[in-house]
Amino acid sequence: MNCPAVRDLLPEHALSLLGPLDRLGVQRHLAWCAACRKEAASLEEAGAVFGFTAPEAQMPDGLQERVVQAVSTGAAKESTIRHRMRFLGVAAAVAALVALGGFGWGAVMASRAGDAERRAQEAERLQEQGEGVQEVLDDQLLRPRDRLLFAWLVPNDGAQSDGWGYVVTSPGQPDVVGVNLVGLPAGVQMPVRVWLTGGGGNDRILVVRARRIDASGALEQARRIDRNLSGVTVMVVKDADGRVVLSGFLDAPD
Amino acid sequence: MSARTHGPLHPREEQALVEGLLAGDEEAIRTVYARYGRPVYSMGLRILGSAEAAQELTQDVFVTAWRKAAGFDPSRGRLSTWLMTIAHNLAVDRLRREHGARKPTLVLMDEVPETPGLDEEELLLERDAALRALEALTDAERSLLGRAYFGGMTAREISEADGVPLGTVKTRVRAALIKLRRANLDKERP
Repeated sequence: MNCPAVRDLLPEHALSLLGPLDRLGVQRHLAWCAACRKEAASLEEAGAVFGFTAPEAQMPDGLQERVVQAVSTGAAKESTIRHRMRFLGVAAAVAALVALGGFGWGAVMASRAGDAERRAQEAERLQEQGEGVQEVLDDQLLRPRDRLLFAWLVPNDGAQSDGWGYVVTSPGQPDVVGVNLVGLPAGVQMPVRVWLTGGGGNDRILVVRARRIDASGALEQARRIDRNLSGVTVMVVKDADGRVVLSGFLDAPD
Repeated sequence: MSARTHGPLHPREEQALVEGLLAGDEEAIRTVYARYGRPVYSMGLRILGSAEAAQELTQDVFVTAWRKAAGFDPSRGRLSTWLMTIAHNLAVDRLRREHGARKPTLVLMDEVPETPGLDEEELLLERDAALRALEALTDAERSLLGRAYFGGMTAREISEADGVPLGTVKTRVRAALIKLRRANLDKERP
């Protein structure tokens, strides 16, 4: 999605009115385009201003205590989750979300379907299925300071995704990176390496080196990394000759 | 953790407040609620139309804010914008889930927020400034934003309902938002 197309959608984005396909496209664009991000922030601010004009309601008794309890309970619960369980759980939950339709997978699959209405319906359906797992991920596996970034990995010459990768940054804990390749293109020379780069592309971090893939050409790995991955924006898969096989932008999912 | 419940917050104070929220600090939660609980609940009630749904929404908004607190960046926007955007996203998502497409197809003028009397000094500053900024909009612009923001109507739906080209509706929505923001900035300045 280019800047003019995104600008056309930003007013409705600011008013939470976009469908899943458009919202995904806009958010992916905003992840890297500072100019559109500035425009989006400005319109969102206006939306919030309008929200303040709702007729003032009488606050119900006890609501404040319920809010305080809900937030406090969540904060207390997260501190009891063991790190290893979380690590394994995140990998499983991300895989489940992809399978069920999270991270815009519905949009990706639906974009290959027929007419516009069917595409929208399919995207909605798959997105809803993914919501349950997303809640588990949010409620039980990710802690409030954690940040999940997700990337669809695509070949340079094609639009079809051939895998995905994710990064979980976690202050005070080793960060986690995972990659799941559905099927590497034929003729790729092993080993393949997975790199992360920051916005400028100067700081490259090697996170996975795989000598073998399974019979179907798939690869699934997750690792803890003793480096701060919070600035990474791109995941790149290269073959033994250093050629880029797949790449994708790491975005915060919806 | 102590923060004022009234008056504009400096970005550093907003950051500290969100840090407290993130840590599950009860005083921080109460302070954020004291500032924004009412506007969140009021907006939820306006959009969802029932006290029960608005209460659930309010609770969800603060839990979501706690969960996303690490992503709050005061250099990118104010705490009020961040929180109200979370609230509006959740409210509209819920509206769509529970009511199918969109709820109202027509917003009557008496449903459009009224411009205030000048003596409503008890209002929170953000609400006060927002209400005053509304004066900069025409009735048609206020109605248009009301249908989109509170009614969940897309530009296409408004276009079809009014028989106005889609591009025109989008342009008008954008222009109204920009006008409202500018007016609000002016009203917030001392």
